[in-house]
Amino acid sequence: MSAHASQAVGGLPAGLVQLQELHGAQGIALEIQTELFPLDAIFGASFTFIDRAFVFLDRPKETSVRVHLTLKNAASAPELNALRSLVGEFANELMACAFRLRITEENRATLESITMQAIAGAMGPPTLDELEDFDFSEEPFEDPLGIAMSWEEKYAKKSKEEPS
Amino acid sequence: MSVRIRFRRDLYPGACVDEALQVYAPYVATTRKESPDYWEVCLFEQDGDEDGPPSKKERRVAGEVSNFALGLTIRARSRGMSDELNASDSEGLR
Amino acid sequence: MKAMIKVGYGCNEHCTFCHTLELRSIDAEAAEVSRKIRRAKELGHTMVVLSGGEPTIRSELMHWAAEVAALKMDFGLITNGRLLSYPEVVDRLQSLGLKYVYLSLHGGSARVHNRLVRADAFEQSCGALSVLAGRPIDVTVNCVVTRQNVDHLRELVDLVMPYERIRLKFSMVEPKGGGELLFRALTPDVFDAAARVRDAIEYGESKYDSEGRLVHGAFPLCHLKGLEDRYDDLKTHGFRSMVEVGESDFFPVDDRNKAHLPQCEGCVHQGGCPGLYRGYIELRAGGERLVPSLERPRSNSFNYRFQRFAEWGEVDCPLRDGALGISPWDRGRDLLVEHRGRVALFRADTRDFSDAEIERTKLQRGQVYLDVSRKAAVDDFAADLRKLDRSPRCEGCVHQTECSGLWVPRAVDVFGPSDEDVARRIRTLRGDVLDLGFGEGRYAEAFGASAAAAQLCYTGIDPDEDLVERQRKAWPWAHLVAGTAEAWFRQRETSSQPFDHILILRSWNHLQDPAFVIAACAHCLRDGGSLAIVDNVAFGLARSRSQTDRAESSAAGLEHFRNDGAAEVKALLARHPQFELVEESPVNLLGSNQWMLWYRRRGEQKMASKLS
Repeated sequence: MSAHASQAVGGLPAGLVQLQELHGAQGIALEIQTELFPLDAIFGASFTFIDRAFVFLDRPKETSVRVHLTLKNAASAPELNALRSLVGEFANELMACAFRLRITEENRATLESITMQAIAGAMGPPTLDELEDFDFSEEPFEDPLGIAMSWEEKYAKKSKEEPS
Repeated sequence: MSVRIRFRRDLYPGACVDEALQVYAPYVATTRKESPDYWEVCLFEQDGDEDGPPSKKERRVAGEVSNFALGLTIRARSRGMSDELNASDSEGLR
Repeated sequence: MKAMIKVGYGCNEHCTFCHTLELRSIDAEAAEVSRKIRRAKELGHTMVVLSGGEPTIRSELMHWAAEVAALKMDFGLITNGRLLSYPEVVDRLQSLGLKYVYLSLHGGSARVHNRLVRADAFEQSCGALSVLAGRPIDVTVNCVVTRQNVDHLRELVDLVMPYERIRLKFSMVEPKGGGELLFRALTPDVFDAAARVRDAIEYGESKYDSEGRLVHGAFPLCHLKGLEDRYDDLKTHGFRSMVEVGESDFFPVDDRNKAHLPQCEGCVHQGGCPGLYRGYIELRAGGERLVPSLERPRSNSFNYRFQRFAEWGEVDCPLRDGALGISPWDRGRDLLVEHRGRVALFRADTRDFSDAEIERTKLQRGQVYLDVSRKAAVDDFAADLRKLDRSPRCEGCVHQTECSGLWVPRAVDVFGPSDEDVARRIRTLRGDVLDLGFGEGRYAEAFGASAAAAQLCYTGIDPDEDLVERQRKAWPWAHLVAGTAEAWFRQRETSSQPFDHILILRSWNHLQDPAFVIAACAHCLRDGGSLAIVDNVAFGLARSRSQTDRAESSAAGLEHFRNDGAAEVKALLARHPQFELVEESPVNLLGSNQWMLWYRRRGEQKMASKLS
């Protein structure tokens, strides 16, 4: 049976973050008010953690969603710091997702891209078969002018080299 | 030995939970039922029983099932299918 | 048949109007792109075109080109072209099958172009044109028209047109990504911009041997009259499907980011016209400047051309469970028919009908047929056509609303019953009958019998003078007039005898001014008299390649001014409270494409005295 014994995490608001056992494993839970963060942002943020954590959503109240995070590769009693940083990263990702949603005025295409990107991550890395097929011998092209460099890479580099 | 997972019906479409269970069916046995607010799933090893603390394998599969159901849910949401899937929830888990 | 694969959204430029501004940090894994290249082959594409972001900044570029070549497909790029300024890069890509380049260049000078792409890029992109020119590569230069370059389009014409065979396209900026965030700063009035594009095209035509190489995209065609055939988009370039980073399968190329406004309803160009970007409609009004072309006739059918057979596989449904998949198929334009354990793939590429019209015809009205006649023009619907129905396999499938569906032919005549229904009613008519657009006279026998028994006095109007002359000899009992219904009503004296029945049988969609005709009918129909309107909605025909080619090269005249269904006509009749709807038979998924409306003029029935 899954137990829900919970305790506060030092340094984090007890009403929002709690250590919690779920499905027999020790994890951490974050309670999110849905009036502050849209459900799409919660789903989007959840997805970016699927590759390293088991993510489970529940709704303790009509106005909130609880996100349970359990580290995939942790020992039976994971370190408190690991869980604390996991929930911290999740909160950051949630903010980023909500911000992206807001600035694009919930532009559907962007939302899809965010979530699909997350799914692509969730589906995992390419299989060994695919990597076997990959021909690493194909030489890239000569680029003496540095054309094939992203705008951010080029101009960030430039601004570092030539401080104003 | 078993793990019980209670998926909120207003967060997880039944079809997504169902599909996730089908994917992991080779690894564990399951029982499924529904309550007004939840899809309730019980996972247990084929040769185990439904009582007692969960085994490592059961915990692992429970986590994977949760993640997979979440993956399918978000894909359905991003394709605007969640309404249809929710509508199909009236039939319960199939 | 091209497939577009987005390899990531990173770029070596930073265009002000970038569609994927928010996504620039996202790049696809190399293996993801490779997987999609193989999938493009599986779906039957003949060319893979990589796009982004900027695909040429990816170190895997040559590898992907080699993969495409190994699968015996051609290779293409949607690019800012800067990397193609290296001749050796183009040499290598060409050896790997590079056949298509869609190159962004937004100004004829470094000042204009670099300002828009926010990088020192002009010389390299222009260099690419020199490298590409003269090679057997299909090159289009795309200029996104913004407020910053709209006054400099001629400059670009002078830069590009001297390169033989390179096409220059002017595209309206889309309010998406950066284009949306900076809408006010970037977006010109679309109608003013269209005028500048017209000026640039006409300037280029007058100065260079342009051979139709100056084209445009995303401008409403009513503001580029005379240049309608220069419309250019992904579909005209042969793109069938595309896939974004992270998407698990291809999706059809469509125009859902654009829309037609209500005033476009009935415009003959609607099928080939992009309308306006939805974002533009939301952010800036101006639709009142659209000028629909209503006066020209249009087609009432379109062809689904046979593409190939696909294997069914060991699955229940080859789309949901098999290799075909669900998402790559356009719900309207692709038609997948079950045929002896395989799937026959048909495709409608017509621009006479919009995506929305085709989708309505196929999915809402179910009016798609398999042409079993081998004729170029169908003339006996019951014998020549087999109605296609959604396969029973689709019943209860959760994907039904997103899937193009599987279709099966039905060996039942769907035309006969609806026709017989009309004939049965015609046989009961008595009194003065006015038949607008009698045509070949499908019900002449019934009219003749009643007229011989002095129960009916028949007046028929038809615009075809030869036909009228011929029918006069065949139908001595009829009073026939050559001309349009509109002209006949206009010259009819108001004191003339009213009619007991007015019939508009398969001629409604041929009327030039149906609103006027209905108002006139209201005046010359007796109280209690009936108004019958019968016509057909548009339909799609699945045909062989040669049959489609023959049909589309024939010069059959178009006679329909619209393809109204019962709902459109009912909306018009609702403005005339003197008409009461007695019976209706709309088009349904199981029946033919014929609909019928039977109205009664309110008031006590008084039949013509001489016949009553």
